[in-house]
Amino acid sequence: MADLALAVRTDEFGGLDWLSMPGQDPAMVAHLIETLSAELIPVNLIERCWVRDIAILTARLDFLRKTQWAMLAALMEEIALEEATANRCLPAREKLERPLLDTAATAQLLSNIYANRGPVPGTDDPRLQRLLGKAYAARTKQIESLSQMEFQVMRERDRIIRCRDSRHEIQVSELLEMIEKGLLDSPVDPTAGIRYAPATRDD
Amino acid sequence: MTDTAARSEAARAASRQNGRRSKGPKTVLGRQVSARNAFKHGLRSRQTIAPGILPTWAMMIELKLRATIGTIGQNRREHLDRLLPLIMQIDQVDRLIAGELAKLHAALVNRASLGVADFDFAALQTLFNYRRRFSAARDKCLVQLTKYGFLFPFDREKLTGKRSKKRKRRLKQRPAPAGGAEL
Repeated sequence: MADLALAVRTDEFGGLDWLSMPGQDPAMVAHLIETLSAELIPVNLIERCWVRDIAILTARLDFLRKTQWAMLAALMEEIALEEATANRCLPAREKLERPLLDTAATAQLLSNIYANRGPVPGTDDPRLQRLLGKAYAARTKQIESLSQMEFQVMRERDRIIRCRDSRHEIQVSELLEMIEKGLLDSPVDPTAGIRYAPATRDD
Repeated sequence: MTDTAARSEAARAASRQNGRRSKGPKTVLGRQVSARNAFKHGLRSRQTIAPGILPTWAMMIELKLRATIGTIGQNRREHLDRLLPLIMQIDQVDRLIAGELAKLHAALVNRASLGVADFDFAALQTLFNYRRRFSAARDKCLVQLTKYGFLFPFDREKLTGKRSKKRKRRLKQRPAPAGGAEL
């Protein structure tokens, strides 16, 4: 919580108070901002804005992925319960022919996803595969929507990363040009922050 | 065009009766209220925010940008004026998205009823679209703001001898001076 308080206090783009809403992961955003800042060393407002956006979008991406899995798992649990109920009425021979995934296993899967305790179990179990297929079939539209949103968020995040990278490339090439022409007497300290020139013309 | 003679007395009486009924709001307040009847989120409208009503954090952004970029002429001023509302809109969309995600989260936690089926995914997708659009426009403004005098307080063209493509094109298009005409 201390990290979040710090992130909210130091945020200069309208605040991050909405991170306290259910479904958000403030600790993850705060950690990402901290890690990215240490890695990318944002030197001015523009770069800080990009770092903040990358962190928010990454956390959002994580939420969408987890949501997708949680939705599937909830559905699988429901289907497993329905099948277990229907199975009680079946004769013993048919029960053997239709092996079912017990509800405890799906419940475990669900709790793992909600509690963010490691990855989802492997889908090598044919019973799990069958349930997964049924769940997909039942909620194709919603799952597709979530996938599309995930793709959109990822594309936006990558665009911001590319934007930041291209800007740095231009800065470095200009710096090299000036060094080649002997216009720099002393080396530039990258951590000191890059100063922009006052515009000599504005067309 | 309706012919008056062709209309029956009953139809004319009905028209008179309808005309006596409400014809919409008349007071200024009523008109203002009804003008927002179809308002959903306001994200599609172009926002112009007067400097006087900018929140403190947005004013701080403006100050910091001025300190970072340097002198701001008319062209840059326009980009800056566009940038601040965009940053505010991004903040607004982020809050709306957080609200929608909270609803989705609640639907998932309450998995007994599996309320996900009722969740409006299209609304969330629209908000993501807006977020992406505003963020792209913001970055375009930022690029325009830092276009000239990129790294050091010198004129790039004078120092590096490199001319921009736009300037090269302009110089090419300029008509050559008529030499020897005065002789």
